Amino acid sequence: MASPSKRGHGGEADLGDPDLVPIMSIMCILIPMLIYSFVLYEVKVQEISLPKFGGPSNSSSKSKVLNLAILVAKDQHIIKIQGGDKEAKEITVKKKKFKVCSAETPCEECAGEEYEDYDFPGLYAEVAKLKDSKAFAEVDSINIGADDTVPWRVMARTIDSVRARLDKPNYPDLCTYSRAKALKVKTTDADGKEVTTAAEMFPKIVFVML
Amino acid sequence: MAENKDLSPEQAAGQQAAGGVGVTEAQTEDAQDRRKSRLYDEKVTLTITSLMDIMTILLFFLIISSTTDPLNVVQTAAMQFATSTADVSPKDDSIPILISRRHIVLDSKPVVAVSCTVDKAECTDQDFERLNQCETKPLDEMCKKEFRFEIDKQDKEKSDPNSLVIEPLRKELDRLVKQQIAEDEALGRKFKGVVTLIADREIPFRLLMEVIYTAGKVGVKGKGGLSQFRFAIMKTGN
Repeated sequence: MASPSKRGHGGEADLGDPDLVPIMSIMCILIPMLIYSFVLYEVKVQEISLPKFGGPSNSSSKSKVLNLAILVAKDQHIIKIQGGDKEAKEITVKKKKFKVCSAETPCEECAGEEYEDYDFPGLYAEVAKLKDSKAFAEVDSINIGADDTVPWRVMARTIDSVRARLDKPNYPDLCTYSRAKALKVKTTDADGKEVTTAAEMFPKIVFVML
Repeated sequence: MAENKDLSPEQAAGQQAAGGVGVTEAQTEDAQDRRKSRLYDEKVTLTITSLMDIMTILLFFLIISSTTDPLNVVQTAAMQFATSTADVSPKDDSIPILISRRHIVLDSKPVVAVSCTVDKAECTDQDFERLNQCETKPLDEMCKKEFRFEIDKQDKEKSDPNSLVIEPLRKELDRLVKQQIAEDEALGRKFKGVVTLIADREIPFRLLMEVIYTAGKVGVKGKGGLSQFRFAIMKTGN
């Protein structure tokens, strides 16, 4: 016999609270799973301009525009200054030995074994010196090229060395350089408001092929 | 005796010890049983509605943020971001090209295989894991080895190993760019042609240039092509 309908006779039956426990169980699995796959680091972008195939103009050409290029070789950085009314000039910054230093250890107390790496503090010091010179004061772009086998992580650090201005003009080792603060300057934005931004040396990066 | 019915076992025992009203052992047990059954009969309900609200918001937030951002790449042994101090957040929509140590991935599907060799042998995931530790352990033997990442010549234009054009990538990018231009036209927007390269930190400059050159060749006459390039990096330091 069919049971009498609970509805009808005017009133609605009290169905009670829905059982949320199974939904909660699914959520308790889904949330840790999503948190595990969640990216907790900050991803930013570094803009570059299209490569100029054929590389920078050779030293015999006398372009009026002063041209600064960094070439990343297997064991050194080569800074090439061309154009303008000056003779072409090359500065080499060879790989150097640095001490292994953990992130927690203060730089002065680094006593790890020595290993060879690109001299990014040396490159930064040379580029900062050039930027401070009268010839490059108005130049904001730099060409960067590399040997075929140079990995992207080296290119990224090279770009950092030539793009950002740090609080000191030079650093004695890789540890102090890596932990250095960016120099902040006050500028006005498009709306005319005063804002504090990181000072830059050569913000426009152009990739070149050798 | 009737008054003793609702006494707790302790109270009943206390009364008995005090020599008060005579309470038998059977009565004490009876009281214990009644107390237990009362405990089990009471329906304890946990209000989880507010907790459900929090969970639902959290779930939606996580799902949306993990699906909408193309730069939301999970790092694996074969895909590690290069670190940089660059502080520019991506603003415009772009076409992301992921270059890992195994594949070039476009639109979430691998388009070309990247071949990796170390000491003339094929690279393994164990090699990659050791290579990934070189930043903290630069003296490891693996850090001195030369890893070669390249595209097989059959995937190059005219099967020329020196060619800068990666054919399967060019075809797939071409399809994607045409689709994007059509979508932008339908929406009345201008196609910006921005590419975000999400490259593994060990990818050599040559391979990066091959990808950039291939992307630069893609486009529709009069409607533009891929002309703006940017690299995704993991922000660090100053």
